[in-house]
Amino acid sequence: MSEFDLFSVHRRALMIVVGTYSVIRLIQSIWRWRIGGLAAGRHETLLRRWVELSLLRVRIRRFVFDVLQIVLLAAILIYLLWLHVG
Amino acid sequence: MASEQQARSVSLSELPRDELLAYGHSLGLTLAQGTPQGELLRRIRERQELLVELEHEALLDIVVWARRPIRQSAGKEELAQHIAEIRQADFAGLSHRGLTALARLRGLDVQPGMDRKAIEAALKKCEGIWNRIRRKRRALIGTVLVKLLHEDSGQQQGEYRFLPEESKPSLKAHIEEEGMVGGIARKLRGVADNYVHEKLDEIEARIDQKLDEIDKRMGEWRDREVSNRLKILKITLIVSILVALLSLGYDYLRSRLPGTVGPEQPVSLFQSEPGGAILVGVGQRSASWKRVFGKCTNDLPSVLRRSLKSLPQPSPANTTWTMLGPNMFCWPSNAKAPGWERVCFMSPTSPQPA
Repeated sequence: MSEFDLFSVHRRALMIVVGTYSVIRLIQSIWRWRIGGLAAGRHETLLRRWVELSLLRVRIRRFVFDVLQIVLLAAILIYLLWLHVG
Repeated sequence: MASEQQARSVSLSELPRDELLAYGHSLGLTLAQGTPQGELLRRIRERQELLVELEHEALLDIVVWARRPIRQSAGKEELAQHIAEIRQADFAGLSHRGLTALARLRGLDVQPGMDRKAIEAALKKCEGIWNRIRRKRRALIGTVLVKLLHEDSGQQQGEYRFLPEESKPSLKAHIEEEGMVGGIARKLRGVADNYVHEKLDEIEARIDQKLDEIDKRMGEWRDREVSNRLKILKITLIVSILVALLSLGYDYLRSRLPGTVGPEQPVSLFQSEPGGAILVGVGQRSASWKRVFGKCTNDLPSVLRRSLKSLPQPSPANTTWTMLGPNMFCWPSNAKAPGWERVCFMSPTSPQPA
């Protein structure tokens, strides 16, 4: 049996709790949007079309720098996680 | 005629700068904000002269081709305003005289004998690469939107029709039709109707303006919202990276403690703890310190599963072991994994490395 390590236990517990919480919140959010999007009333349809139009009109160029930063940070995080497992 | 031209020139020169700019833009001129007043006046007069030169029918051909709603009796300046808003680049259906007039209005020097293809090429060239890309992007968005909104865009376009002309019967005609009182009443009602229409148009214009403002504010709000979400994502990632670094640093420090295997030690063979087995890397090519430290534990099967995912869990009972030396075995006989030359086990009873 391997020796007890409080830090390892803590990080594993943190990973499980935070991961589960994020997944549940993400699924909840997606589900709410899905229900809102599928509603067939006049107002819901209008709102859905407005959201779709708004999303299409987002100027990607304005956020390119932010998106690049996020991609870079995500790559660093994945590398660090790989160092943990590898 | 000369006096009318002179009066217009005088009134033009009296116009304030912003109105001159707006007037120039409405005639299809590209004017920068910092253009001097004299230059503005010169270019507007040049454009007015060009409009005098161009045929009314040629300008009508352009608006008909672009299917702009307009009256046939519209003046040249009104036609020029509509033409200035046209961004269409498919010139099929536009007459030669219309094409020539369009090219001249866009500031191109069109020679009398120039053929159609050359004029079209010159027009496309003067559009500029960014405008072309923007037009293509809008066309793409239009296609997507049509699909999203399920709009039927495959309908055939009917023949173009001009807007009906405004007919204003005279008072005499009214009296002739309805008598004096009725005629005058109808005329007055017509004037009142016109007044109401004008006011309604004004109200409509104000509503449009307000809607544009609302749309602009909603757009700003949307951009701010997207920006905030991205910022939150960035902060989350940065915190996660910091925690991961902390965790990695902890692993590293723990591995440096006495009794554990450090990276400086030669990686050849490590002795197991009493009662346990160890995994050693022999002649590693690219094993990181983490790989070396992580394997020196008692829970060998799980470590081995992690390291060599493609291999089944080792079991001394049903595995062929290759003898490498006294109390030293290799499993399987030619086991290899990325970064490892060979995977070996020491027998739990092995007292010392060979």
